[in-house]
Amino acid sequence: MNRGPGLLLLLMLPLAGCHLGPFYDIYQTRIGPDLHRLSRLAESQVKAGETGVAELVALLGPPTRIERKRDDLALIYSSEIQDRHWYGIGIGMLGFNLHLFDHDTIVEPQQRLLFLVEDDVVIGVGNTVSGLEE
Amino acid sequence: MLRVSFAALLVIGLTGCFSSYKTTGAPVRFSEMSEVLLQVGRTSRVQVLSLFGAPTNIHTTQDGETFRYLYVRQMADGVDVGLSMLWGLISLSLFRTEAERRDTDNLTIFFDREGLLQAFSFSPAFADDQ
Repeated sequence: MNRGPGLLLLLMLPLAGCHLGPFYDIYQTRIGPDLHRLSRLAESQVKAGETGVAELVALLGPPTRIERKRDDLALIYSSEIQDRHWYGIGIGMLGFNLHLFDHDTIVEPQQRLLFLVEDDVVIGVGNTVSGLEE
Repeated sequence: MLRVSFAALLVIGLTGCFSSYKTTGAPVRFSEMSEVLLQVGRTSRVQVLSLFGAPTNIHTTQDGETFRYLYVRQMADGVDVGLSMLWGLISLSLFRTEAERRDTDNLTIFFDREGLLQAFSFSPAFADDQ
C-alpha cells in the first residue's frame, strides 16, 4: 500500500489551517498607526511648550481622534492591537474543533499617544505604548 | 455492551478542557511613589500624563475633568462535552461548565477647572496575580 499521499496530506494539514494533534497558533493584528514609530518620533522631536499643532500633525500625520475640552484640545493617536496565542491538542478543520485541551492567551494593549494642546502649542504628552513591535 | 462502549468512547472523545487569559489595556503604573507625587491642588494634568501615560478615557464635566486608567484581566477555565463548528458560531454542547473571573485595576483622577488635581482613587484588582 502506498502511504505517500496520506502522509503528504497529513503534513499539509497545518498549511490549510487544520490540525491533528498538538497545535500552536499565533494571531497578531493591528488596526491603526504604528504607535511605536510615532512614539519614538514624538520623544525625539516633540517638545512641550514649543511644538505647535501644525508641526505635530506634519510630523506624525492625522490623529485618530481629537477631543475638544474647555480651553484646550487633546489629539489622540491610538491603535487596536491583538496578540493571541492559542495552543492545545485535538482536531481542527475549517472551523470545526474537537479539542482535548486548549489554552488561549489574548493581550489587547490598546496603545495610545495623547497630546494636550493649549493655544495651539503642545503642553503635555501621555504615552501608553506597549505590546507588539514590528 | 458494544453500544455502551461506543457511547462512552464518544463522550470521552467529545470531552475537552479549556482555559483562557485575556488582558485589555496597559498595566496601570501606580506605586507608593505615585501617592507621594500626586498632590491635591498642585499636580497638573501634564504631570499626570507623564506619570501614567494616556488615560483609557477622559470625561469633561462642569467642575473639571476626570482621567480614568483601566487594566482588565479575564480568566476562564472549564470542561466542555461537545464540539464547536464554524469557529465557535455553532456549538453543540452536551455539558459545559465554565468558571470566569474578571478583575480590573482602576485609577481615577479628578481635576478641577484649573486642571489641578482634586482627588484620586486607585483600586487594584488583586496583588498576587499570575
